[in-house]
Amino acid sequence: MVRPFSLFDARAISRIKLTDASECLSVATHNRWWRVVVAVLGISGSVYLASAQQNDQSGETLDVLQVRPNFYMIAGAGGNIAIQIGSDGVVVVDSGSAEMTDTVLGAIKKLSSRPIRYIINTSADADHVGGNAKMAAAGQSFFKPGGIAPGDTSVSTAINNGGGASIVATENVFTRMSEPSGTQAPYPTIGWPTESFGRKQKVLYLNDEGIQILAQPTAHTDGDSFVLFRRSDVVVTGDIFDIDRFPVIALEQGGSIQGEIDALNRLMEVTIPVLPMPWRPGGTLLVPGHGRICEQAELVEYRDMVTIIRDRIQAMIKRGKTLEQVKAADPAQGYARRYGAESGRSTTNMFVEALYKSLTEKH
Amino acid sequence: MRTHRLPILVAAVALSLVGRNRLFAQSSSAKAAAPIDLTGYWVSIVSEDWRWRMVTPAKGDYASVPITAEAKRVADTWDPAKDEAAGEQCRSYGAAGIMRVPGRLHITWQDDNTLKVETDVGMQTRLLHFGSWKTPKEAKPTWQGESAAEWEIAGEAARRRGVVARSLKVVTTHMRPGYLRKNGVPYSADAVLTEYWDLYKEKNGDQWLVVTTLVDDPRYLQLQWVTSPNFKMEPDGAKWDPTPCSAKW
Amino acid sequence: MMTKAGLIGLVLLILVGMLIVVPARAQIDLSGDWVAREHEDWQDRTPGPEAVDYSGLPLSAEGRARALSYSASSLSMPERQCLYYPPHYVVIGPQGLKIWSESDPVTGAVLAWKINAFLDRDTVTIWMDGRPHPSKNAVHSFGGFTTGVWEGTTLTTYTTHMKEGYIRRNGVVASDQTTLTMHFSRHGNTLTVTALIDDPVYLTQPHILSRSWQLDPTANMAIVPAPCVPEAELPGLKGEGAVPHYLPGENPFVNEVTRMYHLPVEVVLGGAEALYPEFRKKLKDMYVAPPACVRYCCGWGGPPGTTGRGLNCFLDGTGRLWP
Repeated sequence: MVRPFSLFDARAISRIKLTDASECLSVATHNRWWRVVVAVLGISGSVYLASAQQNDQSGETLDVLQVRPNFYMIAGAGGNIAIQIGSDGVVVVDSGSAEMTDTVLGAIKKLSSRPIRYIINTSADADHVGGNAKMAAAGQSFFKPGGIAPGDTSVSTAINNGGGASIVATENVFTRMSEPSGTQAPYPTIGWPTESFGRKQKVLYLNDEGIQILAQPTAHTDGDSFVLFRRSDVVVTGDIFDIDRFPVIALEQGGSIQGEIDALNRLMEVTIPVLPMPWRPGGTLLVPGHGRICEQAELVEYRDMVTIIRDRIQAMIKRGKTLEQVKAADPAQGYARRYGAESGRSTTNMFVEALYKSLTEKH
Repeated sequence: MRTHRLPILVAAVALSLVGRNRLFAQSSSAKAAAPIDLTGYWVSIVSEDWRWRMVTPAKGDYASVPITAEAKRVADTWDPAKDEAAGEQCRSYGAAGIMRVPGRLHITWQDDNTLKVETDVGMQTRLLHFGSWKTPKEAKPTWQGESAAEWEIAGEAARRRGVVARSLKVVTTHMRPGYLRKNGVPYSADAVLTEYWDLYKEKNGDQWLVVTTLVDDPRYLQLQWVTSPNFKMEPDGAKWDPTPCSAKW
Repeated sequence: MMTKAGLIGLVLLILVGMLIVVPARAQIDLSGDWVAREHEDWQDRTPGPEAVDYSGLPLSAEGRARALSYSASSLSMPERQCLYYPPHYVVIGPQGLKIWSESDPVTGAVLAWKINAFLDRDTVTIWMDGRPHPSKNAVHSFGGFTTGVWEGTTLTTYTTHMKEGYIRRNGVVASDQTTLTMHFSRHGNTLTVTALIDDPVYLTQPHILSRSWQLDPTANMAIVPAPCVPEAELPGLKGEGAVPHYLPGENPFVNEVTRMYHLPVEVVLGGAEALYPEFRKKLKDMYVAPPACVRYCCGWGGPPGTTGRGLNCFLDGTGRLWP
């Protein structure tokens, strides 16, 4: 069960209140009419409470937030999932972790009865592509096998994805997800990108808006992209921008600190704050790889943080410091409490080490 | 008949608990009518004007105080050694300045209508008199002056809605000339000190006492000087540290 | 059928209920134009604090490190020029407050209080209708999300969902994890706002500030901030990724306050220990007052035209007569 929550209707949950008057009226009285009144008030109050508890008792773990009238974010299923809905169907950016896919599909069904047409992956990370196979299978391709007209063989089965949703990602994501040189592929075929690209960008036009998938080379990995929904004015950033932690620079997957900083600066260029009247609502919204919905102001702080830590490590490298000396100097001071971690799959030490190695090219 | 006494009894008990503000005027004492409990030990938290309060600032540093030219002329002659020699070392511990001197308060009821506020720094005692108390005609000015206190009552319309005010108002006069700041920023014998004491209880259990302090001094202030020192409740007097007045430190 | 005694009892109970119930009307009217009385921390609030002066702040080591890396040149970055301060700037900035309410058109109940009159801060909306705070994954806005309740005649508010922003204008920040509790207490024409800024990242305990304003019906304060048009002002800061900052250990202003005001550097760098009276014992043997005031000796905030009236304070380092 998921609990829809709208950015535009924060009062939805607080519509019903048990009033002081009803409490005052719950008195012991022998008058039958008053007993009926009290019973009605009591029942209505307890029904409200029961529905809220039911939501809690269902073990909901997803947080579904409305970003724009036709755009949603789902958090809590691994990486953030972005959903664009419209008459063409549903476009999903990143599919989350495999174990949460059924729940995510249920959430998407509540948002739209139209089929999932496209999945766009911002990287090959398991918490962003794990749901691809099931989600694609649950979706519906625009493309019929063999093409549109009878006898037309222009559309191959590969593009059709067996009738399931199409999947878009960079070529390097396809390479990571598919079977490299004879070993077991990490993901089933239906979950592989059906439209991979090696250019700067790939574009779609769905649900009345242009969608730009912009490749960001050698950032978090060598397969990153971020996705700009032009009419919605939403950018889905993948793990290039992760408001909850230091960026993961996956050196073994072609990531680099300079590429990460370049990607953040490129994101700055496509996000627009509300100017010249900053007090008005609006501006580009960002769906980061993890964490809350953001605006350009958060991106500024994040980009600056990464740049400052890079500068600190760079300065120490210039003075001939070893990795251990750099770690001991605590180059992430001032930021580690907010973005770092002592344990887990992404720690402060890992971040510092990745930066050092990226800057010295010793990896 | 017997079964209907219950609602009347309940109503009577409830009425006796409601409209507490109305009962203040009829209560036999300020202590009984207190809407807030100020008693206990309180410590200054010096998060504002740090270098003007935790240390003696430089001579001539009058920032933040709307002093008159006459006040500046007087303050420019400040000489702490002279104050000590003349036995005037408590000048900066007078009522108009004491609440901004970093230290601790111990607040108790001296009697049912007198709230006693002791400070460990400067070892001063303020007596806040409730009720119909008036300054005695023969009273001489003292460092702490004469303080008339009252529980700040909500207006009639608010009281009818059951609103309970939770502040203490204190007006102090008859103060000996003293210092608003340790480096000699003066207040005169004509100064009037008005304070509003507010108590705030936080979700984490902290309790704060904030004293909005208004000093009017036609001789030394261009306009009313408005400050609000903050105090945090302490569980006991373990850190109570009586220290005599000092003009130099 | 109810007897006469039972009816009397019920009527009494209803009357009691009316006395107990606090309807959703304002307990006290906070609306109006409130002029700031900068009689505390005038320098911090108006001309600005010294480049490195964290005295009075319960900073954590992280907060200190973060503040020391700050360079004022970052304000010239085009992408930072139009960023607002967070809601806690109510008690940190120099401006007055314009407060007004918005009511339910049918019941007349106050739905929200609003606060503005700032150049560089968004309107703070205090929701009074019991609505819950948004999800932790919702956007953090410049105005934050605030709910309020009356406690007697004090309005107590709770703000979440703020962006990261300065709690002192020399680079001390409060993180986006900060929550803000404020108590609005009006006494006649004086309004005191006591704020507790609680940041688990950069502070070791809530930072308390209390400020006062006084009602002035002639103040005619603006209801919206001023427009902002960013532009590249300095070579090298053209919005292309350059980020001014000081490397650890290289902030050139660390000893400036010690030099000017004789405060020990451990005080200058902040920390909760220095907020308590017992810290004075440590200071006693370490501090000698400067021989004379060197800077900002007579300034304060008050009604227009009164600042420094009739005073001839001193010439500052630029040769300017500073009140």
